[in-house]
Amino acid sequence: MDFLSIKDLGQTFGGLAAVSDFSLEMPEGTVFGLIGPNGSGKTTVFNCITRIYTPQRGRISFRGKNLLRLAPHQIIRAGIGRTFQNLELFREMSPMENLLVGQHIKYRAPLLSCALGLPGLKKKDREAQMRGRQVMELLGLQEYLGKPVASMPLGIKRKLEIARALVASPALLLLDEPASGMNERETKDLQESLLAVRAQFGASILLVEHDMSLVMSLCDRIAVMNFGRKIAEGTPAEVKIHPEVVEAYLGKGDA
Amino acid sequence: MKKWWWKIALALLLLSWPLLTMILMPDKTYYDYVASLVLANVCIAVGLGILMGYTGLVSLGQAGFVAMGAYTVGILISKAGFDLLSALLVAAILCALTGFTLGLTAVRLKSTYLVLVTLGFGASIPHLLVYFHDLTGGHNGLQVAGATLLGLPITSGKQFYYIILGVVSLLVWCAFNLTRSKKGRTFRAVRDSEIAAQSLGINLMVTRATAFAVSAVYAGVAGGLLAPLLGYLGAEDYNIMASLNYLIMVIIGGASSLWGVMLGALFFVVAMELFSNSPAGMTLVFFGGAVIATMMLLPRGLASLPAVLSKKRGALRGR
Repeated sequence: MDFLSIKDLGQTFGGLAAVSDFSLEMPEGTVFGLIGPNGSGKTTVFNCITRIYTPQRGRISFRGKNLLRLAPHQIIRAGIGRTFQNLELFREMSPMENLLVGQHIKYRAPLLSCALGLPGLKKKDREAQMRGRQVMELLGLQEYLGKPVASMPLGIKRKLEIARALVASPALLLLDEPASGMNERETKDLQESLLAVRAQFGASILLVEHDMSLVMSLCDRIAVMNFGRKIAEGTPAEVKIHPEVVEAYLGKGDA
Repeated sequence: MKKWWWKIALALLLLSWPLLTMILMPDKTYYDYVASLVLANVCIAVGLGILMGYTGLVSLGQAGFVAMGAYTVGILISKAGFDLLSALLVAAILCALTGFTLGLTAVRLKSTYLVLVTLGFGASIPHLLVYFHDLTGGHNGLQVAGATLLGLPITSGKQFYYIILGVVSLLVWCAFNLTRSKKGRTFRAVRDSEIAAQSLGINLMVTRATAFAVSAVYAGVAGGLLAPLLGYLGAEDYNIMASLNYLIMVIIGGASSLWGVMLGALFFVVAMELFSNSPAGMTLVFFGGAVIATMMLLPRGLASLPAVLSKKRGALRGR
C-alpha cells in the first residue's frame, strides 16, 4: 500500500497558481525533504495535506485513505502530525499542558467525568504526563518543564512543537521549517534531535526547510519546488547538481 | 497552608450567613436575599467565565439562558407541580441543548459575528416569552409559588439560601474539576490556537458548542434557582442589559480565573444593591467606569490584583 501519495495537486489563490500539477510519492520510513525558494508553494502543499486548504485539483491519499474526504481534525487520527512555520504553541499553557493536548486522540474524556473529576480520568492524565515527560527527555527539553512557554528561546519552542506533534505517535510527521530563525548551534541540536526521533519513533518525516545543510544531511530524498511546480526530485547528491535547482537558487546564496 | 484556612473561613461564612443575619438583624430578610442573589450570579458568571476566559468566545445572550431556566422551573413548579430539583434538571437539559445548538450555528463565525448571533438570541427571548403568554403570563409576568424540595415545602428565604448554596457549590466544584481536566485543556487549546488544536485532533465545532452548552446550563440553573425565590418573573428582566451585566462581572473579575469571575459577581451584585437608591443612570456610569479602570489597571481583572500588588511590592523593595 502507498504511504503518502500526492497526484496532480493544484491550488490557486485569486488567479495566482500557488501549486500546480504537483505529484509526490513518499515511501514509509523515509525522511523526505521539500525545498524551494520562498513562495514556491511548499507550505501550500502542507496545508493541503492537513486539510487547512481544500485543493481545487488533484488527489492526496495516505495509506490508501483519501485525505481530501477528511476534516482537518481527523488528519492526526489518520496518522499525520505537523508543526507550523509560525509557531502555534498554546502560549497560555505550560509545556506539559501543551504535550497533554498533543495526546488528545489517545484517550476520551467525557464532559461529565471531567466535571466530576473521576479518578479513572486522572489516572489517564498521569499516564499522559509520563509519556509527555519521556518525549521531553528525548528532545532534551526536561529543564523547561516548569517554565512558561512565552519565555522560551525560539529553538526550544520549535522543539516543543515537534514534541507536541510526536506524543500523538503519528506515522508521518510534517515539519514546516523547523530550523527557521535558529542559529547554527540550535540547528545542529535540532538535527540531532530529529535523528533521535527517527530512531526512537520510527516516524517518517516530510520536511520543508530552507537550511540546506540540515536538509542535505537529514533527508533520504528531496523534491525541489519553484513557482508551484516540482522541478526536481532525487537523492541529496542528485538534487544538488540538478541544473534547474542550481538556477532556482542562484543568487540566493543557499546552495 | 494559608490557602486552606482561607477556604475553610469562606465555607464557614457561607454556611453561617443566615445565622449571622438572624442574630445581627433578626427582623430583616434582605441580607439573606442579597446573599442568594450573589450566589446565583456567581453561578452565571462561572459559566460565562468558562466560555469567555477558557474557550475564548464571547456571549451577549446569557440572560436568554437565565430566562429559559427561570421560566422552565417557574412553569414546572407552579403549573405542573414539579419538585424543585427535577424542575432544575429539566431546565438544565433544555439549556444544554439550546446552548449546544447555538454554539453549532456560531461555529463558523468568529468574534464580532458570534457576538451578534448571541445578541440576537438574547434579544429574542423576552419577545418569545411575551408571544407565548398562555404559558408564560406574557406582560403580566409569571407567579411562582408552591416550591417543594423532595416533597417538603420551601417556605423561608433562609431555606432558599441553603438550597442555592448547595446547588451552586456543587456547580462551582464541577467547574474547577472541568477547567483542570482534559476537557478544560481542550477549551483553552481552541482559545490559544485553532489551527494547532485542529492538527491535534480537536473538533472545533463540537468543542465550542460544548462550551456554549456548559455556560448555558450554569445560566439556566441559576435562573431556575432564583425563580421560586423571586416569586415573580417578568420577561423584561432578561433583556440585553442583563446579559451585559454578566459580561461586566466576568470582565471586572478576570475571565480566565474562576475565583476572579466569582469575585466579579460578588462585586457587581453588592455594588448594584448599594446603588439601588441612586439615580438610575449613575449605576451605569459607575460600572462603565469600573470596566474601563479594570481594563487599564488590571487587564486580567480583580483576580490578578494579588499578583500585581506583590510585583509592585517586589519592585519597591528592589529599589
